[in-house]
Amino acid sequence: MEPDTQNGGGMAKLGIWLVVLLLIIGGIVVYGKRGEDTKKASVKEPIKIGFIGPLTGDLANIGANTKAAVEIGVDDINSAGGIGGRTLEVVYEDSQCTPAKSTSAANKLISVDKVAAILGDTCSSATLAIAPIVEQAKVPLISYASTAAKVSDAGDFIFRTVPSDVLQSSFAAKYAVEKLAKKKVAIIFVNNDWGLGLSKGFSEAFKAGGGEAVFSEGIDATSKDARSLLSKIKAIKADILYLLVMPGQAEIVIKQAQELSLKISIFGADPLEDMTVWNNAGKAGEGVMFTTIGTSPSDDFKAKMKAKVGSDEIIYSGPFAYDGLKILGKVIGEVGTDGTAIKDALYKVSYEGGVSSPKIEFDQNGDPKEAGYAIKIVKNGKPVVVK
Amino acid sequence: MEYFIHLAILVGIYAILALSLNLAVGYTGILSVTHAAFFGIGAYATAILMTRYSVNFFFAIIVGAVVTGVISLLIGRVLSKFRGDYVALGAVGFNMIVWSIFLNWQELTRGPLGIPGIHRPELSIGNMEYSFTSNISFLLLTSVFLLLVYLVCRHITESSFGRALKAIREDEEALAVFGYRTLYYKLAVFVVGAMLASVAGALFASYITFIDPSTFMVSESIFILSSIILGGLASNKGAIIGAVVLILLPEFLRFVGFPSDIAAQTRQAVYGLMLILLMLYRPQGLVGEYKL
Amino acid sequence: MDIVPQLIANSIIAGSIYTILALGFNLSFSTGKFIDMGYGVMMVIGGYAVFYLSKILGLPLPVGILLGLVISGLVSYLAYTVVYKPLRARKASGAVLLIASLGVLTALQAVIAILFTSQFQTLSGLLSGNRVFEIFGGAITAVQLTTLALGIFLFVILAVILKYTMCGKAVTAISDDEEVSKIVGINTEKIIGSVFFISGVIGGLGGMLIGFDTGIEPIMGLPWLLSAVTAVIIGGIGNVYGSIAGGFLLAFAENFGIWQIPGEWKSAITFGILILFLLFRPRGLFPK
Repeated sequence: MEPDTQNGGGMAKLGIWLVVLLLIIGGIVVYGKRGEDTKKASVKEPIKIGFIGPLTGDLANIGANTKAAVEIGVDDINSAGGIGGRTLEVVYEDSQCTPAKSTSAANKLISVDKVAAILGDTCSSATLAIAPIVEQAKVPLISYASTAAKVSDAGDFIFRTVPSDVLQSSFAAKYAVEKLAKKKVAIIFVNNDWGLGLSKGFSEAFKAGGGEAVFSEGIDATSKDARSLLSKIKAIKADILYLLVMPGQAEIVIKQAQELSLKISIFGADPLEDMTVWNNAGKAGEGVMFTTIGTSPSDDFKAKMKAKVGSDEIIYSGPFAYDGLKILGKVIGEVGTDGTAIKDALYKVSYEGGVSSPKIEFDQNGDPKEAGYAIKIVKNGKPVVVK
Repeated sequence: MEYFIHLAILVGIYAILALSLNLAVGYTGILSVTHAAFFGIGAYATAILMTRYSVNFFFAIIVGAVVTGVISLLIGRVLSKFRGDYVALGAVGFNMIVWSIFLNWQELTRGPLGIPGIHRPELSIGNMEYSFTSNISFLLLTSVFLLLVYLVCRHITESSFGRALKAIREDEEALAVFGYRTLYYKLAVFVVGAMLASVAGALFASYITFIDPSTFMVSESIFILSSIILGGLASNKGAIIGAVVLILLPEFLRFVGFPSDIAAQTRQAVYGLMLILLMLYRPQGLVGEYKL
Repeated sequence: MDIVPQLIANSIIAGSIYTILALGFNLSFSTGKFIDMGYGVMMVIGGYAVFYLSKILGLPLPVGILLGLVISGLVSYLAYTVVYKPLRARKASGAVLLIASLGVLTALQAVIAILFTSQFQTLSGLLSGNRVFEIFGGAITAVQLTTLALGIFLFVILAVILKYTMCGKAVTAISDDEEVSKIVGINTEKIIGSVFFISGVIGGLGGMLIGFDTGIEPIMGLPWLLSAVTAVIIGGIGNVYGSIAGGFLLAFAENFGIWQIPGEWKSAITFGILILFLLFRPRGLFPK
């Protein structure tokens, strides 16, 4: 509340301005250097691809794990001679999965690094936010994790290796109605675009199959207390729980369901592939089923991931990002680095032998044509494929 | 170049937010931690009007400001009843509630799915039609708005109204003795600040073309508050400097070549440390005149 | 099937952790006279101390817990001496202290995320089984019963200390009027320092219990802190009875609230209650 009477005020002010100035100059110098690099254009300069993901924030574990998978892809491509004799370089940018940060990252990749294509983002919201930017810059984008239905019509340059939620939720609903003969479903979804999107899709498909969605409520992503939601479900007497939450929350809900002796089958979605869920859930996890997308990663890929991250953890988005990178590498090798040419080639590409699904081709929306789903069940603490 | 234009636009939007928050916090001493809510109401109002009712951006921005004004009047009236630091707590509460409404009133806001496909502003005078599709034109538009907001803020703070506000900050009771209705002054400045924040929201929605609730959480309010604390309270220049530094600093870090996963956490640590050091050694911020 | 007994059990489970967190926050709030956001990170520190000492280094669990409590207490004490004490000495306003403590929360949270990654960790593996008890038709686990017992125990201890010991009386005197306490010869700085140590220990304990029941992550501090603050406002500042009443009332309101309203609205319920209390009963249920 007192006026500034410090004698050192002037000096401090000067000091702070100097720091600001230094930062600006530093930035310009660093940027300038990069500019020079690009000016010395030679055929041998590396081909750059951008990666956008949540390297920090609430979803940092997804971002870090996916980045590791992409790094493996880069090593694989470069050790096999690069792309047309040029090495591949991936520039990683953090978006925290928020629209504003993601657009900054995309703009930086496009106008500073001049990337040929972008892999990203994780969250559908962020991908939808950067779609107009890449569209305008004519830089193709492949998302490795954005499953919202809206991404299908986000633009001509927008592709994804991961199939839309619509497919997964209807596949899961059909399986629950037809194979498991369930009639009343209760849904708990994490209150974000992913959770809500899948829950809606599932309800519709489940009703179409003759079932009934008797309960559908959201839970905050940060909440670790689902007891009262589960108590409500217990009272309603649903016969299956469709659980749409991420690792870190899933094991808690599963454990709490067991504590409350909620004796109904639990059915989840592809993020439950993460082994940490089952290590944390322990016995409570036995018998939980979930859908997984595509095939299991090859042993070679698994071993390389283990060497990179130090654990068995492979988050679902990793293999999709890896395949996305390989597809880009293949296409750029054929048509060069022009954005429109890459885009056109992507619509025609047929990529086999990936770690996320046996064959990837894109339809007119840039979505994968085929989505091979499988059902897994947890037995003895490990998910195994249901035949 | 697009990248720098993009950053300049973001700086402009956040400078508007900082300037408008400074009216309440810096000049009047209301510790408001709910600015992201008003930012969000402006963004949602504009997005809904433009995508669902094909309303022109420049009309939507006005409707958004009016809606925000009404809501902020209610919130401000409640906050004015709280004493001391409870204002900050109550403000956090309101931010959480407004965010919760963005998230859960799905018929209106599409909830967590967000609103995609918001258009860039279009202007038609007579037969002339102009669309702010290119980023450089949008930067121009943002600058015009920033200038307007700056002039409004400068006018408010340098008028006799502004002097009364500063007096309220220093000693509200004394001013009340002189017959000033201090409550009206405080409410008026709170509402004006909120309405200006809604302008920033409209610009944000139309620039990013996609909004969802995650942008308007309490952490965003804290971020805006930090920018004026850094730049300097009760200083319009300080507000702009704060916004410039806090938006650009993390972007510079992108070039320094830290391993990115650690860099961002380090940034958070530096950011926390900055708040502590500022409070300890320079509570009035870089160029501010007023210490909380 | 009747859902009410389980909802009561759920409320008691949530309420006992709120009570513990509120007890610690209330102590520092009533003596320091500012909203100490840094309290949130003491929970994180307590939880991660046990995680590091017992799960990674493999020390026996009681040792890990004990050391963890000391560490979180010390960090809280340090935050007080390095940051809050000088600010208080020059009569900085509550807003300055609030923002400085927000800095403490942000910085330490980031340090923990750098040291241990942002990944979610559970401590339950350290326990040999967690039995589930059925009481009047409501299920509750051994960890949750322990939390309840600890909450009540802490409440009784604090009530007794504050009422009957010299030190406790000094704390009460400071929270009533710091200037007068100084004049009558109480070493206020020393007492407030130890209050911050104890509040850090209680916060750390809360974090550990959360870790045993569900799990810990670096960003958990702020949401739990806000619940604790709400509980204290509901119950009444500077009053140990207030913490227990506020903690349980908040838990009952949240759990019974989402009985009829969809679960998505839970946080809106919490903060709606906070604002109602600030508006109509700013001194809480048990004003001092």
